[in-house]
Order: sequence, then structure tokens, then C-alpha cells
Amino acid sequence: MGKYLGLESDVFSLFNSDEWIAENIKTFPVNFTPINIDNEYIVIDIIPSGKGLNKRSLSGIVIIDVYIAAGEGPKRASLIADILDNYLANKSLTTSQNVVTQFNQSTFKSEGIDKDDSDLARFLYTIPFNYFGVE
Amino acid sequence: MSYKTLIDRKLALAFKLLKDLAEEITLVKKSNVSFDFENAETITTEDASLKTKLINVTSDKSKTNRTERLIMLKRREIGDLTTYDHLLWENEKWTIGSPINDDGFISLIKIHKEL
Repeated sequence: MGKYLGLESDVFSLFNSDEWIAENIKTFPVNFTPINIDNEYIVIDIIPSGKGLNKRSLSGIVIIDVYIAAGEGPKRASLIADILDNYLANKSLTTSQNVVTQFNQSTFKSEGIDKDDSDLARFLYTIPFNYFGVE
Repeated sequence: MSYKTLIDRKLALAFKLLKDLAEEITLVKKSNVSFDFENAETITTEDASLKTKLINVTSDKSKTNRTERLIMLKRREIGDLTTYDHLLWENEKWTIGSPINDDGFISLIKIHKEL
């Protein structure tokens, strides 16, 4: 498995865990069009954009769009961000391929009403990572 | 009779008067779409097919590896379309692009076919 697919697979495994599914937050990757869903979901985009600390690592950022119902304030989005932090912030993912994805501290901000759907408010949760063990 | 019903009836009549210019197609709709994070793939189920008629508005436009057409459909018949739906027309599969115009009665949509 290549480094980009490996990274994607490792991060996706987190959102396929029983613990995450029990959180009951609808979760989708980028380039997926959800249909028949309520006004609350998140969209995950993994961007391996930078060099790593050494030859066998790379760095990047996971951007998570958090969508909630428009007009209801930021509380629910902040709660979702806190839940995401429980799984990601300062955490490490180790897979069977002996590679480690190490997340740092997150940031979180409001992006206002979604330009494609005025029923939704969009918030941006971002967290940088280092990915070690790349062949 | 409401104006909406009146317009829909006139629209049905217009499609009928066009005779063979309004061509019969099958619209295949996916009503349940989810993403499988384990295998990183989209899962679509529950195909629902419906017969409807379209009007071909433009001649074929060929791009590098696909043909594009602009079509007109009756909005109430087709409901909401998604990127996972497709058309069967002239025994070929056409994918649905973005709608150009949708006034609640008529949808003007770009469709594509791989060459």
C-alpha cells in the first residue's frame, strides 16, 4: 500500500471504530455526496501536504467540516469538536503496518452559513499530523 | 384547479404534442447511499427505475473522452436527482451532471456518456 492510501486507510479506520460509530455523528469523506441526511454531519479531508521530520515521515493536516443546523448557535458544533479532540488531539494511531500517525493540537472556527445550503452552518476543525514509517 | 396542477397538465400536453421528439428513457435512482470506511468505497443500494420522457435540447458535444448532451425533463416526475443516479437512453448509460436550470416544473440538465 502506498503512503497516501496507507495514511487514508489509517485515518479512516478511526472513523470505522465501534467507539466512533457509537458517537452517532454522520461521517463522510470528501468527494462523497450524502443524500437523505439530517442537518448534522462531518466531512473528512486528509491533506498530506508537507515534508516530514525525516526521510521516513511526512506531515499534513486533517480538515474536518462540521455541519449543523443554521441559526442554532455554535454549541452543538463545539461539542462535536470536543468529541473529535477526544479521538484525535495529541493521539497516535498505530497500525499493523508499523506506521504511526501522530496528531497534534486542533483548531476550530466558524465559517458561517454554508454557501451551498443555507439550512446549514459550517465550522472548520483542523488538526496537523505527522505520519511516520513511510517506505 | 391550482396553477401548479394546471402548469403540470400543460407540460404533459406539450411533451405529448412533441411526439417522437420526446424520447422515452429509464431513470435509475439510488435511494440509499453510504460510505464504507473499512474498504474506503461508496455503497449504493435500492435502485428504483422509472420510465419518463426527455427532450434532447442540443446536439452531441464531444470532449476528450466523453459525449455531452443537454436535456429537458419534467421536474415532478423525476424528483431530486443525485450524482449517483443515471439514465438509460438508446441502450446506453448516461451519467447526470449539474442542473443548468430548475424552475420546479422543468429541469434542464447536462448528461454525459463515456466514449
